[in-house]
Amino acid sequence: MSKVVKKVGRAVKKVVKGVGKVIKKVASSKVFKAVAIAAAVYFTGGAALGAMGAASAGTSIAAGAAQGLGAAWGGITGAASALIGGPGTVLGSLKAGLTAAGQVGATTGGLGAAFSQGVTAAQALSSGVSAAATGAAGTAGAAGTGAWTVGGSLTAPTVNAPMMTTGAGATGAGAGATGGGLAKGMIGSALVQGGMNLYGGYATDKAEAAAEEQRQKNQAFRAEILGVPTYATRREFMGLPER
Amino acid sequence: MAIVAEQMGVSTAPPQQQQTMGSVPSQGMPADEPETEEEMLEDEQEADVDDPNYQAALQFVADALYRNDAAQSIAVRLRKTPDKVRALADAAYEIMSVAVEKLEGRLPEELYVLFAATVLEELGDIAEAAGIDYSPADLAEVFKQIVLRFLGELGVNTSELETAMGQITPETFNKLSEQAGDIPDDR
Repeated sequence: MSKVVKKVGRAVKKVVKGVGKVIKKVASSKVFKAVAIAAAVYFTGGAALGAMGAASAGTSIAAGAAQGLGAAWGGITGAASALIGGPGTVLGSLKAGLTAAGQVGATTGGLGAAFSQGVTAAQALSSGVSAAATGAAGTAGAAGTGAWTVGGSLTAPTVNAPMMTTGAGATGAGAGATGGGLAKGMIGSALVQGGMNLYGGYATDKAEAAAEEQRQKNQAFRAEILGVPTYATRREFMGLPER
Repeated sequence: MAIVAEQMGVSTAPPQQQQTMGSVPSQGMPADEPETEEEMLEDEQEADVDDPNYQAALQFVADALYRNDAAQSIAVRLRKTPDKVRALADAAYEIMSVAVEKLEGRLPEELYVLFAATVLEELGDIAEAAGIDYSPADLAEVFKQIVLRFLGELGVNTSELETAMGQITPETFNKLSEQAGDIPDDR
């Protein structure tokens, strides 16, 4: 693998960064959806779940667990800020379509708590997504909630704070100790000005078109290989009776 | 899973002689080295699903599964195993490893997770077709095992991450999946 992965740290960062591509993919299969949810939980502590329609997902993930994940990833990747500080990164790639909806404070403990600083009212976003985010201004590292409505179908996502913990003010267990965690750079840079709408980047026409195109390509090569690209064919291929 | 590797057209040499998806000899924790200008430029150029190497990897997997009968072997194995989660993780990891090695590092690393998810999707469909049910929690566990194995083979100490991942209950994934299911796929 040394010839496959040249620099471990960089490779891990890029692999983690690639999670955004999974989250943004329009999933038509329940298996893929489950895997994408797992990726969102394990890599972003659940923060990206809103983008997938698991609206109140954050509430299901204990703040402490998400915090631990943030700290663990921070420890593994080292320069954690590179992970989601720029375009195309895990959460950075999901921020398109944002308008300023609140001040993400650099000295607060987490994204949810950060929302509480400036986000108190709904504000229309340029993409047609209305946002209303509120956060519980709690202790550093405490989970906050962000609620926004996306096109009427995606409502009230709750975002767990810990993965968004900043290095400066974070005192959340683990994350603070390692100086940041995944979201250090994100909180400290561009997103500070914008608030966050996880759905924005996800719902772009481009992403949907790309996902559809990919689905058709996958279907096409299955068709080429299997003869017929249907579910039943797999059963038939394996000599199983039709259900 | 050696049989799968053989069906994928690769050697089944002893582990110490094999390269696996994440194996890097004598490397410890990821080095926090500054990136070169070339690397930073490379980072800005995002690979996407149209990347020819990614497409080649998908094609390779499809060939292995359906042309070389790996799908059938996997289905049989999944039906027999007492640990269906581990078996699915092993199968997916092996397929991904072989594909990555076949491409000799040309598969963009930022597409690894998408590739893993896509392979898992395919294997999940095969399992389902074979009458083996995987819950969202099972699939999350499979994904977790793949991630930890990949990092472990890179030489990363995954104990803290494994502990943190273990704090998320299986039921969480089942609930999340239900919630996501309420959203139309064709948004």
